[in-house]
Amino acid sequence: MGIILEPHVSEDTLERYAMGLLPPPEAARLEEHLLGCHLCQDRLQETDDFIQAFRIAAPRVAEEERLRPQTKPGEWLRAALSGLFAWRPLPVAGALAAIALAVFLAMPDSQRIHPVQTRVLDLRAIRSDASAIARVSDQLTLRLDLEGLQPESGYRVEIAASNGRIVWSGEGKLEGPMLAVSPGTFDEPGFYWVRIVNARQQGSLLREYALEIRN
Amino acid sequence: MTSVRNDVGDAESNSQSMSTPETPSVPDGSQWRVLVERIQSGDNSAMEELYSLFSRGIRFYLCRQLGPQELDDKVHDTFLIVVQAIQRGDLREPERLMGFIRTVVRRQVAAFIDNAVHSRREQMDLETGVSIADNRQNPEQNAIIEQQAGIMKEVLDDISSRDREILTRFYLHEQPQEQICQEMNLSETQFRLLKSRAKARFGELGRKKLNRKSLNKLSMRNTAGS
Repeated sequence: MGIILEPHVSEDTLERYAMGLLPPPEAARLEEHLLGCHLCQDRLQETDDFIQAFRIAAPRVAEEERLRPQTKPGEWLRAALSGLFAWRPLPVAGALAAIALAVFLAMPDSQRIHPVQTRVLDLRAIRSDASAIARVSDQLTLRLDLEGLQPESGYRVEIAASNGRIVWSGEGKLEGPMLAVSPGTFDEPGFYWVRIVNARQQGSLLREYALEIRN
Repeated sequence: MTSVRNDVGDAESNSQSMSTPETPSVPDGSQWRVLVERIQSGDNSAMEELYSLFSRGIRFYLCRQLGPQELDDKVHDTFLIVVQAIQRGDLREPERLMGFIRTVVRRQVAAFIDNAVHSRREQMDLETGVSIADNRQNPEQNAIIEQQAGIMKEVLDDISSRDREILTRFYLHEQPQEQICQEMNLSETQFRLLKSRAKARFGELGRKKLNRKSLNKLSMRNTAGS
């Protein structure tokens, strides 16, 4: 069962709410409407699904496009090698490839070159109790959900490694109901805790999110 | 069937056509008052009525904020708090029942989060750096998310790089619509059309490919009907 609450919420408003961009008074009215309106609940769920899928797929498509070669695969390499190794090209090229592979495999993972990619990650209020995932090569901007927190005059963000060591700290920038910080890239893969602390009350912990950094 | 005018955001003019036959009429302010009085007098049917009107909405909000874990318990706890508060007379303006329920639900979300943070911190204090709770999403959720991302990739592969950039600016970088339209030389209508086409395509491919609904919907439906 549900309730008819008319008029229903517009697509734009639902999108802005889903993206955390709706001002609190409008969000309050919308949430009251959502409590009783099944139709708008379903529409918001679809909007959430769309945005979540977009935020996963779009960087993948962009990365694929970036890595897509301009010429046919292997064409430039074949042309270069044919000039250099006019005699016995196969054994020489094979040996070079084997050496390159051995060097790459012997190299610690942290020293391998990863393409740097700018990435915006939303850390929701322990939604799904899941950690957000990024890569060591990502130039990270984190947006922390302040939903449910009492308004504070000063937030500070700390990022702690799994051994408790603080690896980054700084002031956040309020973007609607989100707090944005840009810790940049992470040197080491692993689990991290992103904490919002009260800047005034001796850094008392207000909220904590899990973040996983992968190679 | 009666309906309530409830000004939410910029409303759609054709919204009336979206009402479904099984949707019951909503009580107006005076009917909320009657319902509240019946609950205060211990009328069980009034509590059932309240539950049937709001349990799905409470479930939806909690699931969206906290995820599907222990959702039934959380809905039950929240509903209990609402009923007890009404019976104690904490609701001073019965016509604001929906706002009151929203406030209770939001407080519950904040309390659940605080509990989770503190229990995790206590665990960390006991075994600092030794064990980390495995709080990743479960395989089924991951599978659904990956399926949806795959569908979205198909949608994005089918559109031009310019259209992709427009959508990326909006959904990923959260640039304002006005800025995007100005910098990409777009009219507001073109911008809306691009978004709605992408959504329609995503929905269409999703219906074709996904045989089951997302876990959230599933977990909501399980108890919404009970």
